[in-house]
Amino acid sequence: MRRRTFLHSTAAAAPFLLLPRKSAAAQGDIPDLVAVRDGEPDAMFDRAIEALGGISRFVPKGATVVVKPNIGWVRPVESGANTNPILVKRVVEACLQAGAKKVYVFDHTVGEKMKECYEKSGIGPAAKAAGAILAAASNEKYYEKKQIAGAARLKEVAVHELILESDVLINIPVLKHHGGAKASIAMKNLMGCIWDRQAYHKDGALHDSISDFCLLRKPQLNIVDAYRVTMANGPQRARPEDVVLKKMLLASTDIVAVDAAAVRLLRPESHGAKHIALAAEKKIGTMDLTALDIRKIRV
Amino acid sequence: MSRWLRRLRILIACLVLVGATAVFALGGDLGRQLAPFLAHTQLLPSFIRLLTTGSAIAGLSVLAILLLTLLAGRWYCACLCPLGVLQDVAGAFGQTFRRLKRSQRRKDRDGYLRRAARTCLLVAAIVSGTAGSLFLVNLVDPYSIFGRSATALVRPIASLGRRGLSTVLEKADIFALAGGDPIQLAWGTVALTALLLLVPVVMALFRGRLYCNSICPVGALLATLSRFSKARIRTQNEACTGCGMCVRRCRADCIVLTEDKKAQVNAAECVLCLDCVGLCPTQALLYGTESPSCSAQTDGGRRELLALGTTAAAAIVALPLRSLAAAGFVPEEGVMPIVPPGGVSFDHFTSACTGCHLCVVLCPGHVLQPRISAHGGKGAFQPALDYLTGACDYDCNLCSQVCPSGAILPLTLPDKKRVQIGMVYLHEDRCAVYQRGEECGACIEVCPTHAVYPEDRDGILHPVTDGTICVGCGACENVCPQSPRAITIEALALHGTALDPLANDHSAPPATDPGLAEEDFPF
Repeated sequence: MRRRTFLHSTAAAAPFLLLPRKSAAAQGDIPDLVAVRDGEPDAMFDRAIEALGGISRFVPKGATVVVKPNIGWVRPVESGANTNPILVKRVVEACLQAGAKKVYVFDHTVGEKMKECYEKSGIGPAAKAAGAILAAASNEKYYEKKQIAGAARLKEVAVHELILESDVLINIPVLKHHGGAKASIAMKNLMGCIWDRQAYHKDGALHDSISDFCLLRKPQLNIVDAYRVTMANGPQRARPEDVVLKKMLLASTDIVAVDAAAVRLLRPESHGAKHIALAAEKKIGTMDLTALDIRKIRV
Repeated sequence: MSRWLRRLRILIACLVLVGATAVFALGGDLGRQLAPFLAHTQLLPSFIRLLTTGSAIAGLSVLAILLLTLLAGRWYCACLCPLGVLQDVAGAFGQTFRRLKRSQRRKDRDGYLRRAARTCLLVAAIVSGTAGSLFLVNLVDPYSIFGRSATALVRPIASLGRRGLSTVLEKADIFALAGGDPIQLAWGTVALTALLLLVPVVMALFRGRLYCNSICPVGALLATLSRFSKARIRTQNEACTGCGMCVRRCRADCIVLTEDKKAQVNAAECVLCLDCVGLCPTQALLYGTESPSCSAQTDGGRRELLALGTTAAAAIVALPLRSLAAAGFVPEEGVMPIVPPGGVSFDHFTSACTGCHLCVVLCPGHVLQPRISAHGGKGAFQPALDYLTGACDYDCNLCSQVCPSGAILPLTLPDKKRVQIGMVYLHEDRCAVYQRGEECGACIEVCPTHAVYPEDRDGILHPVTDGTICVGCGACENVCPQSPRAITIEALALHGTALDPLANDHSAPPATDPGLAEEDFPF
């Protein structure tokens, strides 16, 4: 039996898990976007998730969760190339405390250097210590071809099976300048869920493809790590002076809103990252920050 | 004591065979840790390393092996050579299938032929190797034959097994064995490697260590030395009944019965399996330094001395050919293979690489790939960097640390990061950004030195290159989505030195921080 069929049969036993839980947000004073600053990554996450109504709003008991950090590069924490391991650890802990059955952590790393990336980034040990299952993504066998309805360019994509199978997807990108896409935030981070990265780059479809993917699977929660921010020379091997200690964190259920807000922390040349505007056009989310209820918190 | 020595020989041989197979078939961390033990105990690569680098460790291991042989015989052939041990395994198989058919064997029927063949091959290998071509050496060096064979034939099977096991474990959410493992089977290499391995294996099936005494240049050299060895298998004539059991059993065909029906072991060809010592019903054969009444060996040492002299003379004669060969062999531009960092130049690398494929197995980026004859007449089976299968990891210098023959010289990581093995070349006529104004950025994001960097032209980021900080790692060529690639690396016949990438960065001036100044949120 393939794992997928097994998981499906398990999921069938608890269909209520898959119901959208928007009621809490609609009822009370839960903001659209939370921005926290001046704290450590884990402390800022605690404040943000509290403002968003608590982790159990996103992670029901018994759910399988994928926590998707950026682990794309064989680079240490100080480089700012990968998500902060302290944040990953805290998010995994929170999910398990909320009663998640399983929490998977993975990324399809650049150049198939999975082991090296997991190790050097510090995310592998941190996620394991928190109780997550460090899953693999470096082999085509984990990926399943999916059609994307309404996609402008990315009509078909091979997606990691865990993304398709899990009940909850929590996206925790790191905020970076990007030499190819101008900015790498929440939507760009989802490129680590697919097999063929070259397909995105091909024929100038980069920005369209990045936004098209969100038509297939939108994360329930996006947490942008802006603790150590690459302001120039991203996405990897920025000079030490390009990496700025901003000590910030943004969180939202709206992947477009969180990208639109986070990109403002970067320098002006990153602001025109086209995939954000394209995603707004495709009605994936809102990029008009004035229309959003933003909660700003200082730790 | 001889019985204990035999057991020790079998124990070491097993360790060497299992260890060497593990290094080449499994690679990874285990391979990395075991590789130095293997590399430093192999004569031919160590000898080449000594000649090319003057390495003290290589010098010591060569000296140790030669001295050991001179004093105690061919222990190297008995248990340190993985191909020798493999032949013993094949020979044991062969013997179980043809029980004692050897009784019909005529005595020493082709001793002269063996001696002539191995001496000719040794001289040819030394002459061609000295003249700058390792083609012949690479075809016959036992260590390299073993390494290549394990890499091409056993590694894919080990990889399949690992993948199967991993798939089972993943059902239980255990990803410890997961990996990409894109082992690209180059069928040409696999077929040729298998064919070359068949030579010693088929010989061993029928005639034991025939390869070691008729083809192997290492065997030929050690045979010359062990002829004079102090410790050897000696016959106590009064005990020998001339039954001939040892003659039939001998895997090296090196025992003959003299005219007065006494067994006599030819120390030059004896690979010290010590089987005869255990087998002899009257314990007439003993391994040791002296024996009161041993029979005198009939063939004198002159022939071996003559061979040694010829070899030395041949090497000296061949020396002037070296510069000739180096000048004469200039590969065509565009087809010249890319040599790994530490390889110094096409000439240095090809003059020292024995084609054992240790670097191919251990390369974490899978960029080092075996080639059959891409290096022309300079060498066979030498590897080259293949940017379609991978890219040379900027933070890795592993191949330079493990190369046993000095073809890839040791480099510290900071030094390695400045070595230019090739030069980036952007083909604007193939690049989607230049041709159609489409956004891509694949090459830009992976370049470790920012030698490929973005230039904003009308809001579209165009890749631009700077050769002075390019190290030729091929990350850009590897990820380029165009076919043929719009960005490629051309080999440098002589490696260069890149400028400091941090000091020569082309990107925007140091980042100023719009957010921190306001002490607030920029939205």
